[in-house]
Amino acid sequence: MGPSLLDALNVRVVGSGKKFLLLAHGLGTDQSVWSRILPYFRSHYKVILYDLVCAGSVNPDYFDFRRYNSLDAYVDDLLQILDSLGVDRCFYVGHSLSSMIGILAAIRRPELFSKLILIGASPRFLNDKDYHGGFEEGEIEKVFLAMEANYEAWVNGFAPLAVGADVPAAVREFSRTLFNVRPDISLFVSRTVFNSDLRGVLGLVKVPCCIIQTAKDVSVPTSVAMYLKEHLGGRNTVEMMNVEGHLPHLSAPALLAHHLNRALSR
Amino acid sequence: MPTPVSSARQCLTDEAARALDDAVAVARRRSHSQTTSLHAVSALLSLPTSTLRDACARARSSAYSPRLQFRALELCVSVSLDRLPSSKSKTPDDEPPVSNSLMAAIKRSQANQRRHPETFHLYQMHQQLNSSQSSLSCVKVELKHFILSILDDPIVSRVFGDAGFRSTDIKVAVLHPPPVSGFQKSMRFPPLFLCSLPDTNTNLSGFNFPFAVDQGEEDFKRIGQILAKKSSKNPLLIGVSADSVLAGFTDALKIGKNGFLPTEIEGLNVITIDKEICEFLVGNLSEDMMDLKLKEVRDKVESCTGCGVIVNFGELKLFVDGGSTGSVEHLVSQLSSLVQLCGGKLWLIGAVGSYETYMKILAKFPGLEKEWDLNLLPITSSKLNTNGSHLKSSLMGSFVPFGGFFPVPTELENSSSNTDQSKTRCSLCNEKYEHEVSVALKRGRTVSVADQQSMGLTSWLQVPESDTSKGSNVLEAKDHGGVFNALVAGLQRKWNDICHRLHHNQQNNPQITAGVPFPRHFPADPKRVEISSKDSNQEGFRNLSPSDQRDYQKTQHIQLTVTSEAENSLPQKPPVDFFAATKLASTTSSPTTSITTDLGLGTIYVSPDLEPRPHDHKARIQNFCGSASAEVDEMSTKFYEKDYKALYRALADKVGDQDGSIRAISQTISRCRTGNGIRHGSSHRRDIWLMFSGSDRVGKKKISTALAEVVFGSRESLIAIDLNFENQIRHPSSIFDRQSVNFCDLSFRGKTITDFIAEELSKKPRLLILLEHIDKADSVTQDSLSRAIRTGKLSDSRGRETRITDAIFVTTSSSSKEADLLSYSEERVLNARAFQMRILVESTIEPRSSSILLLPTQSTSRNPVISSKRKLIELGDFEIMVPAVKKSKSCFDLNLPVEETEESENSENGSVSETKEVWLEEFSDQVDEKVVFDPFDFDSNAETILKDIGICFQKSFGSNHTLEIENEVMIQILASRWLSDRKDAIRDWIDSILFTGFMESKQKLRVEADIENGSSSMVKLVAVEGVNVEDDGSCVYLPSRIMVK
Repeated sequence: MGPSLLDALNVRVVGSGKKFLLLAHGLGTDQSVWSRILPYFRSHYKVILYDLVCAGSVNPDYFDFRRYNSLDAYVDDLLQILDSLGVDRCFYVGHSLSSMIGILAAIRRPELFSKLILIGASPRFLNDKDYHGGFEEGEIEKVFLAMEANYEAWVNGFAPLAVGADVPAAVREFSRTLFNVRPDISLFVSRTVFNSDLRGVLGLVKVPCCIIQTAKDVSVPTSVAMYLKEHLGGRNTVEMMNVEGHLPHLSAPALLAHHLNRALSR
Repeated sequence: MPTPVSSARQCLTDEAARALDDAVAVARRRSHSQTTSLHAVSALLSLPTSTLRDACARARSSAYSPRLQFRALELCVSVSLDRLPSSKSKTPDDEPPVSNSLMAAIKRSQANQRRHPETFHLYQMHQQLNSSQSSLSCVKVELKHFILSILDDPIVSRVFGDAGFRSTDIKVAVLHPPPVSGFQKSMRFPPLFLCSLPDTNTNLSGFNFPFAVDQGEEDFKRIGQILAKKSSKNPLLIGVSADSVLAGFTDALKIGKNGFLPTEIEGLNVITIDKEICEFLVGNLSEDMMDLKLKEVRDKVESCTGCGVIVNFGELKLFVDGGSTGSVEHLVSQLSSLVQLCGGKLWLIGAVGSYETYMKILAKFPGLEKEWDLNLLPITSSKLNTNGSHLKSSLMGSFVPFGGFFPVPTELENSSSNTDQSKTRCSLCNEKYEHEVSVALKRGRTVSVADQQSMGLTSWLQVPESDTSKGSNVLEAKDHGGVFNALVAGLQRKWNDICHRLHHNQQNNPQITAGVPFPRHFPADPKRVEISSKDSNQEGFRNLSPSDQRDYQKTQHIQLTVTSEAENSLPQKPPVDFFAATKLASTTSSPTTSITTDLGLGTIYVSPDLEPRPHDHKARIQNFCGSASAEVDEMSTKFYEKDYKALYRALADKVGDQDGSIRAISQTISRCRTGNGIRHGSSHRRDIWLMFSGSDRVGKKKISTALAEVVFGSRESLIAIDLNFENQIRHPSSIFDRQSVNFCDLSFRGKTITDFIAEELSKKPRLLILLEHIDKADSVTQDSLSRAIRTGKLSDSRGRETRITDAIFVTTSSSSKEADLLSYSEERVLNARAFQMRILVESTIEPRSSSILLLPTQSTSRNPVISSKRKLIELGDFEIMVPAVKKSKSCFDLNLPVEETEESENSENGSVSETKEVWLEEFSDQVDEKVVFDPFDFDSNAETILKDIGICFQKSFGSNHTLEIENEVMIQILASRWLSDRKDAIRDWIDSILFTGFMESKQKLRVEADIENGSSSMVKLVAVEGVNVEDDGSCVYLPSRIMVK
């Protein structure tokens, strides 16, 4: 047995509260993305941080292209982390990819989660007949082509779009973590994400959810947040953040912390 | 740009070079334009006694025969090679040059070898030998390392993966010779991830053989797990693409492919009855036929010798949509009995598109889940991803780990980054930064072969899209990716800082910086090299980590060196540098104010100062300012008295109201400034902390503004931040929302409150920081404020500390209880909007219930309904009727279901607010002075205003008309009164602008309807929703002209 999963995915537990709060990052970032948020919670919660296997900070050898071809493998990782930490119940804050993972994990093991807080979440990125996910299939292919053709240029273009060009520090931070991801892994995970469709299973989630949506998000249209609210099976709330960008934890940390606090205390 | 074979060969030992030659031969045979890692693999495999082949043999999965697997590997390699583009133009005799990715692999292995302790002495020997001869210092790559780094190439590992090998296993096998491999392997084995599954180990070895990676594989495995269960073993796939996964699963079972099934249920038979069910439900198949089919199924189960039969009933949606209720019920009961009868040997499987559909079915058949023994399985992957095109060689070509830090203008970036801010460094600093990066890189690689490259490092760094850079960058990525990223990030931060400090204003002059050609190469500068060498040892990077405090000092130190250097190198540079350098002299001492003006804080209260101030008074203020800033220590108590009076008078002069508060404030400030502070005895700290409580938010702000002006000399020295996070949504027309910065302000993007304050203070230490709603501050802000008030230093989220000793902090809380009797509460007036106004004349008398009425006293037509709801004020010829106010509840958040807000009261929220109160108490104990403000008397002000309006109305319309003033208008006028610095500003506005409006409308009335003479009509003063007034200076937030209709 080699390094344990906890080591491989750089699992950290910090803070001094009674309850567990898990912060899960999205695609193209790693746990460092929470560094601005963490101070707000470490005095009240035991905060669990980990890297997704696709993060740049994880040894790329651990990324098994065969295993991680659907979100379920990520869910396995998450649940195993919680089990090996002996967490019996936690608040889950997931961003983007991790919000999908959180939804699936809550379907499988609802007793583990007292609440899901989903930031920039989307059950499906592609448009459908009566569903607006924000992307057309052709567009996605173009994005993938762009990623394949020149990852660097793609990151340079995508990072300011995702974060908001007015926050250069955050854009740099996002570019950094995005670059740390090996391009083939990044592309592979993106494909996995775009191939995923959680719409059918949302009703199986019985854990209360809070959907945090920014006013303008390049990846997730506002209608998606409403869709989630309507279709998730538990008690749901939507918190609108009056800022722009797909990564509010980078671009508006203080505000996001407030929203999280509010969501957590309800 | 590919590397010529000969120069690549130089880096290799003879053995490895032979392998490369073979690879080149393969490439030439296939007339490919470049020799890639794949060619190398092909060549390495083709040798009968190759290391790679041997390693593969040891690493291969035991599930398949070695011959078969090698055959598969060869096929995979050749298929991948077939996909590569062949070159037509080259003559077949040319050696296809080495591709970037392969060259990167070679360099990676060089670096790897260099790091390896067992070869280190060799490397040093090499270096000593070579250093005398030439700069051509290099490590000859051994075949083992060559193979290892080729295996790192994603294309290669993909090909091996397709053939059922794990490249990591092969690497382990290559590294460790056969006798010890077993032991070593277990040490280096990657972690097991599938631990939550019971059959982990069987699955790990069960690679999908031979070629395609089936996307559905994982789903199939999950289905298998459910099937193997004792109870609720019948999977119902749920999800948008559940049906396609179901089809894939049954098809796979039919063709006998069942590697994904747990062993105990291997060899499951499939019977698909979805077609029959479909036909039956739409009525094309009779009930008898259906029963017959089910009977057939039952017979099959009974006669089944294997482990059992799985019945695919297809899409569950049909049970809702199609067919009569009778037939559906029949079918469901039939299937239920089937499950009951032959439980052990029969499985059901089906699919349903969405949870909603499933709920509909459950509504019809509540017992279905139990009767059918169903187990819901979420299916989330929507497409079968079979093309496998996500790995192309072009991808590797662009693998530039830190290229993102270079300002490569892409179309997207240009379109999105039109704001000034996104370009953080000016081009001068940027260039210096790039240069330092290149120097650091160079240092890291002075001993590597890369130096042989004819191109200068600086130039390839500056043209990162050129192909050579990619190749050489990959090397760095693999070797010290993290290190270099940290270095680059550190340098970047450093230069951003420098640029921010020195050339801040330059961003405003893009036409100067643009277009001036910069020299691409900088003269070698020993000092600079020294700096980067300091950075390039690993410990240095660690120190650059943001949270470390020492690091700040270190960067400071570096900055100083660089700054002096910038001055030194002045003459060698184009004129624009001169510009920057002159800036350097001026800007370091005088901080820029651009941000503060951006916030618009200075203009809030600006109204022309009409009253000329007495001259001697001004002088005294200046005297105060001077003394406050510099000669504080020498101040005596005599000074204090004088100082206090001057301050008091200056403040009172500016503010007017709140006399008691001003007295208290001036006393505190004079006391602290003269070194008699109660909190900190030492005279070193001159920061002053005030807490304003009570109501009158505007008054607090007025005093703060005045304080900033009097103490620090300008209104721009005020930074006002609203800590109440509930106030984040602003209305463009709201009067009071325009007043302060809050979370949503653009200047807060990416920063916390403390970051923002610290940044402002570092730019301009003499500031008045107004923190509104301190009681609403979040815990992080609380902590850093507490620390600041104790230590005199404010630390931001990166751990950097800013001295606050010259600043004044004013915190306000709004905890006061308002008297219920007031008609106009502060809360109401705070909702005021700055709308355009309009005068209407109507004959129907039906006022809105919230409006104020000015009725003629002699009017006989007093409406009892109207007067009963209003407070009455007698006033000359008019009776003023002010509507009674219903106490408004605190606003609801529409986002929340009602029951949740109630619940929150007694749960954790309680403890959170409690800790906040505790903190506030502690904090307020530490401030220099707590000042309680008196509430602003809206009611008496409203009375005065209405009296004035009444007089004005009488002058214009006479005394037999009724005037209705909309509530919004009244509140707007009150807000204006509250905000304005002059007491009679409102009277002036009424006498001039409102009067003109009345006269105009009266004239129009005459023209249009002369007949109405004598009969009473109603004049209405209403707000025009949506039309905002600009503040034109004559009166705050009131229109300068009233529309008449």
